[in-house]
Amino acid sequence: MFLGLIQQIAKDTSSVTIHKNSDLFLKIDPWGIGMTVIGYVVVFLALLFLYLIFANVTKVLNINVKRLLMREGKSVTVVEDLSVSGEVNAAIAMAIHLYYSEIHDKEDAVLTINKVSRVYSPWSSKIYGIKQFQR
Amino acid sequence: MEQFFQFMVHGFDQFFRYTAFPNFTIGHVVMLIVGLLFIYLAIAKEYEPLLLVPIGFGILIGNIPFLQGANLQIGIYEPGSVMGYLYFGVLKGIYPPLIFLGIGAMTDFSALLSNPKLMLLGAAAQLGIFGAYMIALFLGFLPEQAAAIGIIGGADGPTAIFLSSKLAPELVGAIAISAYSYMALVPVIQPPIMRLLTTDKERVIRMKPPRSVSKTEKILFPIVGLILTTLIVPSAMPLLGMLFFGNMLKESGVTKRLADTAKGSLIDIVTILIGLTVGASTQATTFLTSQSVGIFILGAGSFVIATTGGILFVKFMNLFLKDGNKINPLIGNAGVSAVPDSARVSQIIGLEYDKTNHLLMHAMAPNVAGVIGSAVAAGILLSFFMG
Repeated sequence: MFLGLIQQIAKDTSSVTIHKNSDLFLKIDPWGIGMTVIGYVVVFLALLFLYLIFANVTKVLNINVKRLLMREGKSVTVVEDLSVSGEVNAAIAMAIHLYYSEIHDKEDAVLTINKVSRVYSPWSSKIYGIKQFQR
Repeated sequence: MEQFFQFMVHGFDQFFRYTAFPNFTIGHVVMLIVGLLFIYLAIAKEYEPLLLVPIGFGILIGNIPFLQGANLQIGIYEPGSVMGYLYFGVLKGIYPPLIFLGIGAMTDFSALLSNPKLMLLGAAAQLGIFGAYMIALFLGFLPEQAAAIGIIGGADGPTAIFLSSKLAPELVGAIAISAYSYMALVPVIQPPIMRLLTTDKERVIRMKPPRSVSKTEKILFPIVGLILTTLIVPSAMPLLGMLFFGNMLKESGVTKRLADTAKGSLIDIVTILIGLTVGASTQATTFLTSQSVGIFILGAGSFVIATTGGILFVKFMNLFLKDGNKINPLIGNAGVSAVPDSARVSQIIGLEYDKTNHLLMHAMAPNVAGVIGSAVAAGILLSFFMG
C-alpha cells in the first residue's frame, strides 16, 4: 500500500521539464542498473587515478631530495621514508612553541634559601581565604 | 457622507483582501511550522545553524500568504520580484560553484594526501546517489528527476542544488530542503548503521598516524585533481573547477587575501542568499505536494545506502590490507561528504569503544574525498541527461 502511494506520488509530473534523453533511458534502462554501474565505476575510476598519482607522488618528489643528499655525500639508504609522522611533527612544533614563548620549566625567578621577609597584610593572608576547609 | 462611508468600506475591504489573513491555507500554516522547527533545531540543538537559520527564515518569508495574481511582485515565483531575482542564482546554478570556491579555500586535503587510499572511500559512499536513483526510478519518477533526487545521497547541499536546478528545476526546493535536513541529521542517522555493520574488534582498529604532507604535494593536488577529474567528467567543471581553484588560493601561499575572501565574506554572502532563497522557494502553493514527501523519504534512504556503502567498502579493503595497515571501518561513513559532521560522527563512535583512538583526522580524508566524489557523480548524471 505504501509503495503504491509513493508510486502514485511520483506519477504527478505536471510542470516538469522533460529532457530528450529521458524517454530513451526509460526504454533502454528502466531500472537504472546500467546508469548505476557506469556512474559508480566512473566515480571510482576518477578517484582511483587520483589515488594512484598521489600514492606515488611522494616517491617522485623524494627522488630529488635523495639525489641532493647523495651529491653531498650523505647516505640515503638509512632513511627509507623521508616523511615524518604527524605525531613527531606535533612534538617538534610544541617544543619550538615552548621555546619561543618561554613557557618552560625554568622560571625567571631568583631562587634562594635566604629568608625573605614580607610585611604582613590581611589581603594576602591565608587565614581569611575563601577556601578554608572545615576540620 | 454615504459615498464617503462606502468608499471607506470598499477601501478597508480592498486592504483586507491584500493582507495575509484571507489568503491563509493549511499549507501555509504547515510550512510556517516547518520553518519555525528549522530555526528551533538550528538555535536550540545547533544542527547546521549556518544553513538552517537562513533556510528556516526563508521558509517563513516564502510562506507569508499574499493575494495571488495581483502582480504584487513579491513572491519568489513572480516575475520581477526581488526574491525571484535572488532565486535566479539557484535556478541557474550560480551559487553552488561559488560555495565550492569557499569550500576549496577552507579545506585542508593533508589528511587525504597523507593516506591517499582513503580516497576510494569517498567513491564508495556515492553508492547512496545511485542506489537512490534506482529506487526513485522504481517508484515511477522520471529518470532526470530520479537523478536529481539521488544526488541527495551525496550529502552535499550545493551539488544537490546544482544538479537539480539543471535536471529537475521543479524539485529544487524539495531536494535542497531534504539534503540539508539530512545533513543536519547525520549524527542521528549514521551511528546505528555504523554499529550494526561493524564488529567490536573492527571498531578498535588503530590506524597509523598521518604523515606530514609537503607544500609541493598540497600545491600539486588542486592542479592534478582538476585536470584529472574534469578530463574524465567535464560536466563537473563548474563545481570541481571552483573547488580546486579555491584550494589553490589557499595552498599557493601567495594569495592569502583572495583565499580569505573566498572562505570568509564570499561564502558567507552566498550561503545567506542560497539559504534564504531555497527556504523561500518552499512556497506552500507550489512546494507542499505529495512529490516533496516522496523526495523526503527517498532522501533518508539515500543517506542510509551511502553510509552502508562506505562502511562495507572499508571491510572489503581490509581483506587485502596487512595487519597494521588496516582501516577502521568506523571512518567508512565519512565518505558521505557532509563535512565535517560525518567525520565527527566517526570520532565520537570511535571514542565510545576506545577512549584513546582518535579517528577524526583519518575520517577527514574520505570526508573531503566524498566532496570530490559527489561532484564527479553529479557531473556524470548531468552529462547523461543533458546530452
